[in-house]
Amino acid sequence: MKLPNLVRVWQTISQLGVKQEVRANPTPEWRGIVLSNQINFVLGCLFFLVVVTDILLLGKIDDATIRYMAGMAFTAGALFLNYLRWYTFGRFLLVLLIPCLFLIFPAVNQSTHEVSLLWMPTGIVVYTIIPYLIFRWPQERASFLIAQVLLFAFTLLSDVLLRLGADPTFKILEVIDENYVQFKRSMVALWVLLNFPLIYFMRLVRRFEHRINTNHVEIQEKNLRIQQQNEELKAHQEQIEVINQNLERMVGDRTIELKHQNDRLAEYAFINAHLLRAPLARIQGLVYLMELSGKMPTDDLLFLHLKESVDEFNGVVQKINALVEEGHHFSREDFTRVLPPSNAQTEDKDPEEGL
Amino acid sequence: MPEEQRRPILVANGINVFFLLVIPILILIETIAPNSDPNIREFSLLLMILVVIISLIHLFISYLGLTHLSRLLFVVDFPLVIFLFPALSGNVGEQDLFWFPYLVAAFSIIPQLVLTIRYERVLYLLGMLYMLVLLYFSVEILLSSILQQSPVVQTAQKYKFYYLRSLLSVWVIINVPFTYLKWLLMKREKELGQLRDQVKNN
Repeated sequence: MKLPNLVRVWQTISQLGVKQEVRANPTPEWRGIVLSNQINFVLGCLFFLVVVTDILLLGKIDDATIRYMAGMAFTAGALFLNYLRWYTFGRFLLVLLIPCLFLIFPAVNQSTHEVSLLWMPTGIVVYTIIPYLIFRWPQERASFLIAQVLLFAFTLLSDVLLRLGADPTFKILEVIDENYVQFKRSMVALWVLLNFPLIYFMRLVRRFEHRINTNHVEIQEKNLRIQQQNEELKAHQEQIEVINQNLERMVGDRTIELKHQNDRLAEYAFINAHLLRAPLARIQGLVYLMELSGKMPTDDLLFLHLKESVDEFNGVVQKINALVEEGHHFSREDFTRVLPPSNAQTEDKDPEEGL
Repeated sequence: MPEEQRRPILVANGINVFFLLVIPILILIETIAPNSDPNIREFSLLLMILVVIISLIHLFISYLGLTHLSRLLFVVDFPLVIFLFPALSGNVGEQDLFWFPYLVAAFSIIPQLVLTIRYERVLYLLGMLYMLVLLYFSVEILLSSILQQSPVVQTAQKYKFYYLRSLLSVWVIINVPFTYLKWLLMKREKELGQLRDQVKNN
């Protein structure tokens, strides 16, 4: 079998029962299931190797071979339960796998080996690591605690179970009996020594996962805020565009209006400079001729008023003409210098009074 | 200093302080405990005092800023003193074969606790290897220190291969999950760092 195929088999087995949508990148919630699949697979392969070695190389099928066959069935069953998505049952089968194979099976089968008495009672303690790996705290608190209690009970009862299947003539049993308290104390010490660092590491992992989740949430919130701000900006931009369009229209209208006003002003300037100026010049000429002819007495009050009014009229016309030509803004105040103060005041008070 | 690098230093110092606090209490209990074998009591007191002295040395070296050296010594000398010293001084019995090597295997979590994979990879691997070698030698020394007529020693000698294999299995069962957890932790810390950068850039 080629290496890529083995990798594919490993990945497929690891993700048995894992939902399709999270297979590419399993989230921490699925870690326990993936790990339980992997442990089952590795143990199953190891048991298979032992069975094959026993049957093919050593040519024997003894209690140990049957025990490892049972182990293969256990791991296959656990994988199948995970595949069916009965994850809790599948993982509990893994929790019970080693105690069943190495404690209960020899006890039932009366097949405890002498060397098992030497290493199994204390060695079983290390199996308490398994619940940390396959159950998620605090989401699966109950399962985790049940598994831990079960394994702790198996640890404490390991020597009792092994003794049930052992030959009573084993001298090693006497040594266990003589040092029973120390024997049990060492088990508990080992249990504590393993569990505290495990709790510490799991806490750290959980803390980091929590922080990662918090950061994810923060990023999502920020993205949402940015999206909202973007939408607001878009709305503002649209408003500005509408205002700009209105402004352009208003400026256009105003320009047209100003152009009309300018045209009117130019027209008025022309009227003022030519059409109004011509009869005024003629009236001035006539007044001058009247003065020269002596037909009108020069001290006549009406004649004097006429002359003065004609000069004043001429001054106003010239002033308007000059201001219009220069293009300056002008108002009625500009004519106070042209008009005598009395007239200017009169115009201020009531422009129609002088008519 | 990143948290990942600071944490093992804190843990190593914490364990040293823990020893300093707990061992005087144990010494007191050992001294006042009735019906204890005077030889064992004397030896236990000597061992505890040694552990206190070693803890103090570790803390002092750490205080000087030589944290790598302090942690390396932590990995090397604690198991050496706690496990090999009793065996070398002949203060072991046949009953110790039931639990002694397993505690050595369990102590192989020390490099996992006080060294990082990312920043002290070589030291970490050497520490693990050292624990494995120590595990093997602890069995050898125990078997040669205890009376050969003992039924436990005879059984262990007779099935030495199975006994060592079971110890190796225990070492693997302890260290593989711890290495996995450390790797997971490293991965999560890296992920968190990237996320923090992302949050800052946003």
